[in-house]
This record gives sequence, structure tokens and C-alpha cells, in this order.
Amino acid sequence: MKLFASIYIGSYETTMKIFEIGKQQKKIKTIDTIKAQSDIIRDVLNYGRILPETIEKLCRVLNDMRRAIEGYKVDSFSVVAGPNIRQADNSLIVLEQIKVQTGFSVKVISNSEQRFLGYQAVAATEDFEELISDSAVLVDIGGVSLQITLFSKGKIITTQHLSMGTVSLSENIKKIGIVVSSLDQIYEMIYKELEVFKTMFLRDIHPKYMILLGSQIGNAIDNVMGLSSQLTKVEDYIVKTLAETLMPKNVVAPGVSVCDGMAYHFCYNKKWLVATHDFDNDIITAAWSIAKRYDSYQPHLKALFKLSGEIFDAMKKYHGLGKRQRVIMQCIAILHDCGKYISLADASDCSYTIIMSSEILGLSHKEREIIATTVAFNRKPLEPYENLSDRFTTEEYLLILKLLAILKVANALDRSHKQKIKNVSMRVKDKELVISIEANSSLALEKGLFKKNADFFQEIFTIKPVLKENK
Amino acid sequence: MAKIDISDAKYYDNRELSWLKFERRVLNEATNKELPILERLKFVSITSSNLDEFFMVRVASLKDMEHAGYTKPDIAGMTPTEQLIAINEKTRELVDFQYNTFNRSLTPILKDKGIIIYEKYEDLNQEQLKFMDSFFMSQVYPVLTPMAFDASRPFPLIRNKSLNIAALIEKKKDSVGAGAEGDDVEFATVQVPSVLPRFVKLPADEKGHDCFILLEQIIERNMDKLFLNYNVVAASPYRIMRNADFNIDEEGAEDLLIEIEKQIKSRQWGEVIRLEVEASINKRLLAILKKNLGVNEIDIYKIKGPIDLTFLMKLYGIEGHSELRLPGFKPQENPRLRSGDKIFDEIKKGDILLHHPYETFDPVVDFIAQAAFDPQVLAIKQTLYRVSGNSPIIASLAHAAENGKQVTVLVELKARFDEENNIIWAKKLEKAGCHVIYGLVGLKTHCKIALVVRREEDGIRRYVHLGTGNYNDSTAKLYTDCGMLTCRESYGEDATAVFNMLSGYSEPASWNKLVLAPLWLRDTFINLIDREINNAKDGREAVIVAKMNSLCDKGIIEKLYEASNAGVKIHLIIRGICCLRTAIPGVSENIHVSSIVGTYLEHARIFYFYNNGLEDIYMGSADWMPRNLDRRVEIMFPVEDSILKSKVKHILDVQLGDTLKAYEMTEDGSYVRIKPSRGKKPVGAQDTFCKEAKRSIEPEIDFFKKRTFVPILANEVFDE
Repeated sequence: MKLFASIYIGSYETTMKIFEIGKQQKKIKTIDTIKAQSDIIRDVLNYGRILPETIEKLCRVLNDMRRAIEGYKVDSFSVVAGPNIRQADNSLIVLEQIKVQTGFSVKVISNSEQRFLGYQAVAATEDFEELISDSAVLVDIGGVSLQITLFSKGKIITTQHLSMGTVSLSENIKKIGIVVSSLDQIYEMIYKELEVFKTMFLRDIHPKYMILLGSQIGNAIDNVMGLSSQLTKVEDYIVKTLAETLMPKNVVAPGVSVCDGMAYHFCYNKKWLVATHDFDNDIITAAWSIAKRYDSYQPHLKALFKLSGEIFDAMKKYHGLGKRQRVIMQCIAILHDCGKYISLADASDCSYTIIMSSEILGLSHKEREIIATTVAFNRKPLEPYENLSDRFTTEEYLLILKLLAILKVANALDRSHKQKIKNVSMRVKDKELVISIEANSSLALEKGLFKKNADFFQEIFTIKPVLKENK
Repeated sequence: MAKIDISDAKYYDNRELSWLKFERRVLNEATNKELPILERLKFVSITSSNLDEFFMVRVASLKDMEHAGYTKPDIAGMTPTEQLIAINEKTRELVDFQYNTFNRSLTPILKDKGIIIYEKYEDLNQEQLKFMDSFFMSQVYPVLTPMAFDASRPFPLIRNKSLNIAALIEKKKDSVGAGAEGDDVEFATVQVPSVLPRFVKLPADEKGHDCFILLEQIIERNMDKLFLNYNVVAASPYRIMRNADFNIDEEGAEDLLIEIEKQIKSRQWGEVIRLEVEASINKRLLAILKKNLGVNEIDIYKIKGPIDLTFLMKLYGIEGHSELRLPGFKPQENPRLRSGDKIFDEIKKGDILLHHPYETFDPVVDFIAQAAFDPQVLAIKQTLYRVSGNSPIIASLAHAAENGKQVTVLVELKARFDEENNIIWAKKLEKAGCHVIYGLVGLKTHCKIALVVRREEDGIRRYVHLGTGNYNDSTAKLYTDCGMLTCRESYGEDATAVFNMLSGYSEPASWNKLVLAPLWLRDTFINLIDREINNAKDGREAVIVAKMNSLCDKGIIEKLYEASNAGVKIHLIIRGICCLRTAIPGVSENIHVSSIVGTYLEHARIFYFYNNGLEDIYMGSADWMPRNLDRRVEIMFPVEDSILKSKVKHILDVQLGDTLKAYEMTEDGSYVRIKPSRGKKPVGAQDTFCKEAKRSIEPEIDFFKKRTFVPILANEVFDE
């Protein structure tokens, strides 16, 4: 039995949960929950920075939480702040103050990571696979934004981010001087945004389930069911509007939040638990949905997906990359062409923009940026590290180079987009990556490009790709 | 027939008057010839101290309302002024009855049994007088501070509740500076020192009686020694009661502790709302007191005997004379918790019910004590409302903190008259390293809950004690209370949430078992009563049995009237205030109210709902009073274990069957004793519980066989 504590500093609430992780039962059980309101997002929206009294209160709460963590003698803990804290001009000072006053080093996570943690928590609930097996929308209502993920037949179709959150909406409404109790305005605002989502992605599907994330909306269910009852909180209005627009057949609120996700994340990493849901597969299917949406040529993508994977595996000993990087490689393969939808000539920059604007549940912001950058360099000259040092660490830059080299070789093998090569096998021997292929037509085009890309590959790995044609 | 409006004020009793009726029932015990004389005197003493508190709190707040021009009628339709007038009248009746009983019945019996309390020093023999005078010089004189009052000296501060002697003195004619004849009389007062015992043992008289004299008599006789150049014209004891009901301005109070300390000091200065004087007081003396204390004529009580009879409680404890007291009952061990047992192991086997004082309070003390030294215990959290002096629980909590456990204690500073005490404990706990919470702004924390968190091999396990009475090992010997020990997951989760809420954190998304005031306890009660109403309307059996200290919440009473009209059988066992009236046609025909006044103070709150056979039983800290339901943090908890349920039902059953110490309310709102049916011996619930606890076996529960209660019908009841 292990105890883990997670503290999540959200935009309007700070939550601590203590979890008991049973070795035998393979389960996480919540032992204690402490929740306190905070004015972080209110301050950010109104003053652009977090006020001293808000910091003071936050530190007091965190100190209480620290006492609880010490009291339970937990085995491990993690303190994380949501992305909105970054919006405050004084966010660095706030984090430093927290460190000084409470001893906690707070890790600020990106929006993608935060959403993913919530998703991990939901995905770990017992009947999650059942819920998404038909069609479902996963709704994550935050302080400043709302994220909707659409599932169909167990796969992620899309994840969309709407700039509407409980706090931002009510602050907006306060600013335009409407009494919060007459919330028809909110309905209008949400409805308008949701209509677009509905026509673009849902078409005429009524999702079977609407899954609500965030533990505080446990009571929302009652409100959705008894729609006539008085709704006093903005949050309830959002849920109500969502229910009316998306028209799900059922609403589910598993009552889990980012804190639970942090615990699962930690346990998966520590191998205390094994995830029941395949999150890597989510990423791949989401990438495929994007590719499909931008009309990328599927047979070529499929060939590239396969080839790049094979090169990656064959080179395993030499590039030193892991499972996670393989998923990123596959996303690169799937998305490397998507910009062509907008402009053939400017495909490189367009691809970059599309990828950076598409939410892929499970990838961090940084990972998405790595994918987009790799894809961009596929078609334009590589820039030296100095030009990118403000965005990437040297490790990340090297990763981009390695992935780019694999992409380029794989791409060369299907230059004509006609999938001419068959029965590919690869092995590394004597500083050469021998790619044995069978071809049913002329490979002149492929061979021409291969030379150029093989040189780049060799530069990166000091292993030379060699094409060996079996006739 | 005109339609009956159940919210009409005429169907409700005023809470103060109802309280005075309760006092009268307590005083009735002093007239009980079955009881040994010292026991009877104890009840006189209890009435006195209760009356003091009643004046300081209730009457004082009515006075405040009157001064503020507040005229809103109460539940019974009376304005504050009307209430004060009625209270005055009833209090005089009560005090008269009290002194008549004391003077005419009890003192003669006491003398008969060999104890004499001299009311007048004139009755003493020479030897005793000599003793008394030397006692005065050696013990009393050094601590007296006589204070005079004249044109140059302001009227002295007379302390709340202190006994004083007022005197008229005049300068001796032969002394230096003696003025002209006649009006040269001065007023002086001296406090009867509270550091000395109120009564002093004298040498035995000729017949070998134990003889006592009251301290004020000793001072009165030696008054002239205090004013050497004066003649004492008249001297008489008196006592005042001040307005002590204070409201703390919490919003502005940065530090509650300091605020309360300030308030305690100011309590001595409140308006005088009662002046007690001896019936024979000198008229001029009384006039001076009245004028300078600013007392109204109506608030002066002329007492025919010693003022302030609370000293009788001390007399109860005098050496010897054990035949004049009831044999003491030693609280028995709970059959499941023998001393020395590992309490957590036993709780793991199943819930445990504790019934104090029949069963000892030790398990509750041990619960915390064992937790303090148990290496597996991580944290202890507890609410403390009133604790005993030198409380072993406080000591254990401090030990626990010193042993590295996380200890969180909510000390309610606002527990009336205990503030001073509580501040001391709170500071002590903080010093030991406990995390102390000093109550909540705007709410009194009245719930009684203790939580022990243990890290066991298979995970975190939480042990919870929930009770109806305070964590006070002294009063647990005198108050009847129930408690439950459990380690059920659902209770543990809720208990954790309760303490998080008490620490100022948000309410959890859902609760399992516990019902909290001021959140939804009231609604829960209303729903539970409604369920019985619906069952009755559908022609099913519907029964409510509720035991508590006081019932004065209008919303609940209305609901009970509604239930009565629907045909729900309602049995209320209410020790003190009951604003509900019984046996009113079309209002409360199905409601029966009884009240038990016995050796122990009835204190448990138990609520039983028949629920169409799926009986629900709850216990808790809340009475059906607005303050409990709306302005306090209270916890009500269900009793779910079937053995425990049957035990609690047995408690209610035995109490409903009491024909020794029980009263029932009649149609006119008065209370009459419940008598056993013809040819049967009276049975007292408290006696029964004592016997059952002594036998140390499971009580025989014939309740199972019949599953119904037996109400006592009017023809079985006789007035005394």
C-alpha cells in the first residue's frame, strides 16, 4: 500500500487529494480531499496579475495541505499549477512566493497536459471503454476555457478548445452589467459557439454519452435532469446549455479531476499501476482524424506510417529513443503533408500552423511543437540550433533532427506516392542500414531522392541507409 | 367547525415558561420522600444554579430586547415584556416553593438526621460562638475588604453573583469627629469572600449533631469589628445578577481569543437584572441598594432563608452520613471493551454502542489515549466543547502531538460560561504542537466527533467516535448520553470531510451517512417526518419516537402537528423545554410528551422513525431548537448495525415505560407524574439501565417480539 498526494492549483480552486494505492487491488482510492476557492483567474482577468492577498490566502491553504501531507506520511506527492497562472504578469513572483512560504516547488503545466491529466482520470474509471464504445463527448469545463473531445467507436475524432470558462463568462457578464441570476445571456454566448462545433463535427449524431470532467460538477447532473430547477451557478448553465445543444442521451459525471489524473500519471510512470486505456492509440487516431480532415492522401500516409515505424525500430540501438518518441514519429508521418490542403507551395508553414492549432489529447504542447517543427523542416532548409534555442532545448533539437532523418528516408521510399515497394525488411549491418525491398515498377524517382536524404541520415546517425532491390 | 390553523400561537408554549416548568419538576425531586435527605438537598441546589444561569442568559436577553424596543412576539405570541412579566411571576412561585421546601421539609429532616445548619448566629451555644469568633478573626477578617459609600466615595462595584453584606453604620458618639445626632448614617458593603467555604463546621452541640453555620452569619455577627468607630445599625446579605449574555462581534474580531477574554472581563459590569435580599432587610438599606444598583422594584426578590442555595451541593459532599445519600453507582464496563483491551481491534469487529453513565466513559478516553501512543496512528481530530478540569483527553491529545501524530482540535470558545476554561486548554494544546481551531465565525461548533486515522497493512482505516454528549469525563458520570464507535468506511469518509469543513474548506461533492447542521439537518428531519406522514396517509403504520433535551423549533413542531393530524403516533421524551402542546383536538391528539427527571441528567438525543417497518434510528448532538438546527454545527448519525439498533430501541422502550421518574404533559400544558398501573410497582428507566449494566449482559429485548411501543394512557396517570 502506498500513499500519494496531489495538489492542483487551478484558476479558481486549489485541490488536494490523498490517494491510497493498493498493490493487490490495482486501484486508486481517495482518502482525503481538501478544496479551497481561490481568486487567481479573477485577479488575472481584472488586474492582469495576482494580488498579494490572493497569494497570501493561497499559501495559507497550501501550508494546510502540506500539514495534511505530513500527517498522512505520504510516500510521494506532486504539486502542479494550471496554465492560467502563467497569464499573470507576476507569475514568476507568485511561484517564488509559494516556494518561500510553503516549500513547494510548483510545476506549471500547459493546457494540453492539464486536459490530458483530467482525461487520464476519466479513462481510468471502470466503465470508460463502454462509454466511448458508441459515441461520446468528453467535456472539460475550466475557469477560462472549455474543451470538448468527441469519441466515436472507441476512437478520438477531435478535440476542440472553446474560450468559455466559468469564471471568464461570469466576469464578462459582470462587465456588461447583467445580473448573474438572469443568465440567458450566457446561454446565448455558449450556444453560438457550440453550434459551430455541432455542425462541423457532430453533424446529426446525438452522442450517447456526455461525460463531465471535474469533481465539482457532481451536482450538475441533477440540474440537467431537472432543467426547470433554479440554476444559480454559471457552471450549471454551461452544463445545461451543453446538454441542450449536443443532446446526449445520457450524462455521466464520474467526479474525477486533475488531481486524480496526477495520481494515475504518477502510478503509471512508477509502474505501480498499468493503464487500462491505450492513450498512445488515442494520439494516433486523433492524428489520423486531422489528416483526414485536411484531405491528405491516405495511401501515402499509410505507407509512410509503416516505413517510418520500421526504420525507427531497426535503428533502436542507435538513436536511443523510446516508446513515446515512436508515437511522436508516427504522428509526424501522419501529419507531414496536412498543409497541402491549404497551399501546395507553402505546405511547410501551413502544416506547422495546422498542427499547432490542433489539439491532440495526450500530447503535451512541447511534443506538438516538436511534431510541427519536424514536419516543417521536411520541406525547407534546416535551421541551426541557435535559431531555435528560444523554443527548444538541445535534447529536443536533437530529437527533431533524428525524427526528421527518419521521416526523410521513409518519405524517399514512397516519393511517387504510389506505394511501389513491397516486402520491405530492414537491418543494420556494418554502419549501414540495409533496406531490402521488392518493387513492381521502376524506382528511378525514389532512388534519386534517396541519395540526398540518405546523406542527411548518415550525418545524424553515422549510419548509411542503403537500398537493396530484390528482384 | 372553524378550520384549525396549526401555526396559531395558542397551540404553542413559551420556551421560558416551559423551562420554568422543568425547573419545577427538578424541584419536585426535593419533595420526594423516597429519596435520602442529602439527595433531596442536591435538587434544591441544582434548581438554584439553573435559575442563576437562566437569569443571566435568558432573562438578560429578553431585557436587551425590551430595551431595544423589540416587540415581535415569540412562538407563543408573547412580546418580550409580556414574557418578562410572566417569568417574574412564575419565578417567584418557584422560589417560594423552593424555600418552603427547604425550610419546612428539608431542614427539620436534616436536623433529625443529625445535621444542623444554623441560619442565625443567635441560636448558637457559647462554645460555638467562641469558635465562630475566633474563626472570624483568624480566617475571615484578613480577607475582607469593607467598602463605604458616601458623598466622596462612589458606589462600589458589586460583582456578579457574589454574595455581599450591606450595612448601615453610624459614627459612635464618643468618637473623634462625631457629627450631630440623627441623619449621620452611612452605607457600607463587604463581599462574602468566595475563597472561603460558604459554610463552616462548628463544634458539635450537646446532642452530638454535626453543626454548620453560613459564612455570612459569621461576618454579620462580627460586623462591628470592621467599622471600629461606628455602630452597625443594620446588616443584611444580598446578591445581584447581571446581564451576562454577550454577543461577540466576530466579523471584526481579528483574534477571537482576545475578544472573548475582553468579554469575560466586561461580564462583571452588565446591567443588574435581579437583586436578592433577605426578607427581613432594613427598609432604608434596601432603598439605598435599589437606587444605586439601578434595580426595578419588580426585579427584587425577598428571600425567606439563606440567599444562594447552591452551597447545598457542597453540603451533599460532606464527610460521613453516607446513609443520607443514595449508594453511588459505579459505571460498568462495556461488555465489548474490558479495560486493557485494544480498542481498535475491537471496533474492527463491529460497531460499539456506549451508554453513559451506566457504562463507563473510559473507552472514549482510551480511544484517544491509545491513539496517542499507537505507532500506526497518523492523525487524531476532535471537537471539544466543554471539557473537564484536568481532562485526560486533553492530556492524551497533547501526548499524541508530542509523539508526532497530526492532531487537529476544534475548541469551541463560545461554549457559554466555559470560555475562560476553554482558552486555557486551547493554549495548552497549541503549545504541545496541536493544530487548534477556535470555532467558526457565526456558528457554534456543538457536534461531538473524534476521528483517528490509522495506517494499517491493508490501507488507511479511520475510526470514528460519534456522541450525543461532550468529551467530558466528569459530566459523563452524571449525564446520560450515547456514543458509537465505528470504523465503517462511509462514516470515516464523512468524518474526514467534517474536519476539512471545520478547517474552512469546501464541502465534498457528496456525503455518505452523517447529517450536518446548519446544512441540511433541518431538511432531513422534515423529510423523515414527511415520510411517516405519507405512510400514515396511505393507511400504513407510522411511528416517531424522539428523545431530546428541548423542543422549541416552530417549523418542526408544525410538522409534528401535521403528522399527528395524519395519524402518525408520536412519542416525545423531552427532558426540558417543550413548546409543543399535546392532546389538542385537531392539532396534537396523537402526540404524547413525557419527561424524565432523575438522578442523572437526561442528555441523549435519539430519533426513531418506523419507516414502514424498515426502522431508521439516528442519534446526535442536536435538539429540535432553532439554534441547533440553524446556528450550530451539529451532527446526526444513523445507527445501522442491527444489534446496536435493537439496543437503542431498548433504551427508548425502557424510557417510555418509566413509571417512577417520568412526567407527562397534560392538555393544559402542565406536567403530572406517570404512575404505574394499579397493583404494579413503579419502574424507573435509570434504575433499569443501572441494573442491566451491572448484570453486564445484553439487555433482554422483548421489543423484537412486539415491535411496538406501549403508550401510557390518561387513565393510568394520576396527579400527586
